[in-house]
Amino acid sequence: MNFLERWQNRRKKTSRIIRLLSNKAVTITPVWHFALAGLLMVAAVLSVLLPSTLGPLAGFGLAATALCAGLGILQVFIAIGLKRGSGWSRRAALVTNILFIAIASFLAFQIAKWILLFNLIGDAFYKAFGGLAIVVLGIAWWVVAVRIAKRIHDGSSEIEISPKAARRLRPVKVLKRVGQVIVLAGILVWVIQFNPFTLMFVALGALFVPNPLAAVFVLLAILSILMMRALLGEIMSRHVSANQSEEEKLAGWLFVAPSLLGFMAFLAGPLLYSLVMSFFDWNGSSRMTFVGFDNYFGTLGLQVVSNGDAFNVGFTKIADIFGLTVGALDPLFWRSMYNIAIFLVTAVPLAVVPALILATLIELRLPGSKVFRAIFFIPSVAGVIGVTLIWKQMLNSSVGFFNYAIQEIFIMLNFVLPGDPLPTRVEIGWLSTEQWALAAVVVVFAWSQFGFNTVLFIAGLQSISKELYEAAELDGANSFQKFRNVTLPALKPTTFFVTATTVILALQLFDIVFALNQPNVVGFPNNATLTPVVYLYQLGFQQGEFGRASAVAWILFAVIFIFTLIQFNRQKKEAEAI
Amino acid sequence: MRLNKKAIAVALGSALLLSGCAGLDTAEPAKLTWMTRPDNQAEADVYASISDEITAQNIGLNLTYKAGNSEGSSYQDKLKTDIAAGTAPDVFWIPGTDIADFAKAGLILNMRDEAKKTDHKDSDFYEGPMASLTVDPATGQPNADTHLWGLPRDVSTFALYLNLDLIQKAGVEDPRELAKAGKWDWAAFEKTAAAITKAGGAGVKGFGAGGWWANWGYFVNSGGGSFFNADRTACALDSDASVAGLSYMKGLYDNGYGVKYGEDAEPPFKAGQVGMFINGRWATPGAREIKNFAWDVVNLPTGPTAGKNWQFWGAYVVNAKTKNPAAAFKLVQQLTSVDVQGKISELGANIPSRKSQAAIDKFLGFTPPENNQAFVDAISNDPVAEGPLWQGNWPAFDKAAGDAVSALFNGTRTIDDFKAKVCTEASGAFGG
Repeated sequence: MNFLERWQNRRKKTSRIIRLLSNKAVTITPVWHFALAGLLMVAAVLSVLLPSTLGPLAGFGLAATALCAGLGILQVFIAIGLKRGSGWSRRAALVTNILFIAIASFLAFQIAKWILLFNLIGDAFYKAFGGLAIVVLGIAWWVVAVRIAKRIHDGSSEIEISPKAARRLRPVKVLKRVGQVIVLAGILVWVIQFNPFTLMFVALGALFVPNPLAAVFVLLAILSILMMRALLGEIMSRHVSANQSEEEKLAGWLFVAPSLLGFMAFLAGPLLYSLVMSFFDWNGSSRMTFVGFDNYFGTLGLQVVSNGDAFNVGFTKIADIFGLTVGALDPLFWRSMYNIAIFLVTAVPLAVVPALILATLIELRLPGSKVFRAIFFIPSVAGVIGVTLIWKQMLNSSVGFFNYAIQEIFIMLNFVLPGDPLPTRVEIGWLSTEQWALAAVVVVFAWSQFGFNTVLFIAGLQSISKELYEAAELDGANSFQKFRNVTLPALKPTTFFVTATTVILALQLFDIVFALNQPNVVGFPNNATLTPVVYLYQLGFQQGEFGRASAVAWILFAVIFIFTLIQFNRQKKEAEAI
Repeated sequence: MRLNKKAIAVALGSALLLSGCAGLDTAEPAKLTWMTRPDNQAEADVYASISDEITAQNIGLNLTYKAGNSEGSSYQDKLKTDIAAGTAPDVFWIPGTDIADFAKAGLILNMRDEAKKTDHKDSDFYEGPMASLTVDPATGQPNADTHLWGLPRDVSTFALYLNLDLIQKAGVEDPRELAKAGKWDWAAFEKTAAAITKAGGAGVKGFGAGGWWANWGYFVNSGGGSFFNADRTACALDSDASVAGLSYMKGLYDNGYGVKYGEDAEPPFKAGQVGMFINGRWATPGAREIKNFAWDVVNLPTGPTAGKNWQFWGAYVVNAKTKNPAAAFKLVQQLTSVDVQGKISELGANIPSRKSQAAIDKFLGFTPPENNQAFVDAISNDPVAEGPLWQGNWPAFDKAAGDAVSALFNGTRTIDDFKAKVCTEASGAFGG
């Protein structure tokens, strides 16, 4: 029996197993989910009796127990539902199995350290970079030779070309061959450097190191895959009375499942983790302590007293408003919110309005407008940290360009203006004085954003129908009236999008402030540039208060959500009115 | 001229065999990764070559070097995240101020037991760093019998980088001569700064300093004050001596002698706009790029209390999750050997942490600056070792004190208000 026949036989055997599972799906799948319920209940009990068995999850304490128990109970409901032929149970069972495949595979890789194989492969690729470079060089060489050859025979086949062209083609063929030889040499070098044998030995060694726990998780993953196949079989489909439309919906969900899993693992998962963490006191390494809403109360806590009255313990005065004094449990958080509010009302108009004006000017298609369109876009593609460091140099009080420019303008004005002369030496501490530091951040932010916003506005302007302008012209509208009554209303969806995204980016301000302040303490000077994200970074990564930092992050999320919701509602109402 | 398929197959097969042979080494040295924060690319290159050399010595270590990001790039913040994720190297460098935070969080290993098995002697290194590296977290006090959190990679200290052209133009006595004569004190410093500012013309400042804790901290220490009380369990920035030091520094800013507090003073110094620039040894490679004026260094001016320059240091520590603590400590010893420290010192940015004349000689041989001795003198003249807070949270203290000082120097709070409130504001760092 040759290899192909053996392979086909194995496939037949596999198919038999799946066929068997599909036929017995109505019986097997509920049993499987009852078994999962049992496993989860055991995990819940272990989390109470032997918390150390849960490893890092032990820190979640009661929450881990509740999660395991809750999922266990859910499995019981799924199992009963499957037995009764409920469509909902089938969908829930599929989700559960997908999750189990992902979690069990991840845990198996982690426990057996197979994940380190990816590091080894990465290292091997890095070491074999030289060979890869030779391959790329060879390909480039070959491509050039092919192009030269094409020019010589000018579209006709190599048989049909003239003897003269054939003579010219001969050295080019040699060039092509040299390119192929370089590619081959590169592959040889790459193979030697990549060292696949060693990698294979290590991989096999790692795979066959006995690790019962990892084997259990692998088994769980395989069983979950088989159960998924059973759940998708015809017998189960008939059992739950699924119609064609439902089957198609299910297929759709299954197609998006890999992407959805990626989203859940790398975006929703960490988000959820940070939400959970916001209810714990955790320094990033030691055991977590559940503190309920303390992190939120400690961050948001405010007290208002009459002037002269004392605050409760822990409150610090942050403001005087209408004869009342306001105190906060976390003055730095409120300072960061105050700063971001000021930032929002100054930076967003500066990043949006000039972008609209520029886009309108560019769309006039004056000579050189294409060049300017490219130039304006540069800040969007430049690295934020890099350009911020250039801004830092330009804003330096002693040798920065800004002060120099102001100084030169003052000197010129002194020639023309009567009265006391303006100072001829300007040393504004753009980055070091409390009254200017936030303004400097506003300028850098607006500069970095308006290029992209300009491009968005240009796209918006290009989508406006020319007929509207022609109609306006017929009505005798001048340029300003056309802009006021045609362009602006037609641009409303674009303006909404630009404003919404700029507001969100502004609320998440971090990188510019961080780079401008280095190596001073964050928020320098005296918290004048402290923003919520900078503050949560400081809490989490510098002071090791990850719980508090997570709470600040979720408060900020709520603020951004409310802002966006208001903007969406306004936009919706306006659209409905139109 | 067709390429023979058999020949290609033979070549590929040979390559595979060759690659296989390369991987059949039978010796199994301990595989370790290590990371440090280089001050510049030259240093990063030397660290990489040192790593390869140690591996080549066949002493049971197979090393992979990871260059940490440079100064000001949140090296420690990233490192903490790596440790939490379990991807941090076996051995890594951290600044002295962070030792306690890392040790208390259980992120680094107590290496005393491993050290006892070797010929290691604490006394080979400067006392300041070793006192902080042998603290028992339970008591907050040194206990060299039971604790060793790491070995110092190097030490550094502050000096004044001088623009000799501006000093000459100001017509004041050369600070180096004043230092030799024992007359380089706060009064002479202020006089020199004032003269440079006055004579230098538009935009020229007498001195410049950074906005981080050590800059104003020197004036606190030199004035006879301190950041903390004697057992480092509470803030002492409100003491009369601490406040006097800060008042002196504030006076310099208020009189317009300095580059605005918090601004980066290095670009104006390099542009020839600053007469005296306070910075550490790590600024020397950058200063060597200066071509437009003559420069050198001198000790910081003596305050009411002699000495008290900072002794900055950082240490190689072992990841608590390393699988091979013995090999990791062996690596730490290798990285802090006289030979390795000499190689790093030759690059000019670091002073050896070992009390080894051979290593110091290599450091002194790195000119310019001519007056390298200023750094060595500062290290030996009763310095204040940069120290972690074993019974507090250093980043929280740094933030609270830094905010208060920036408000003081920028004129948004008075010295009386500072004295009255600074330690209350910083009390959170001590659990208050």
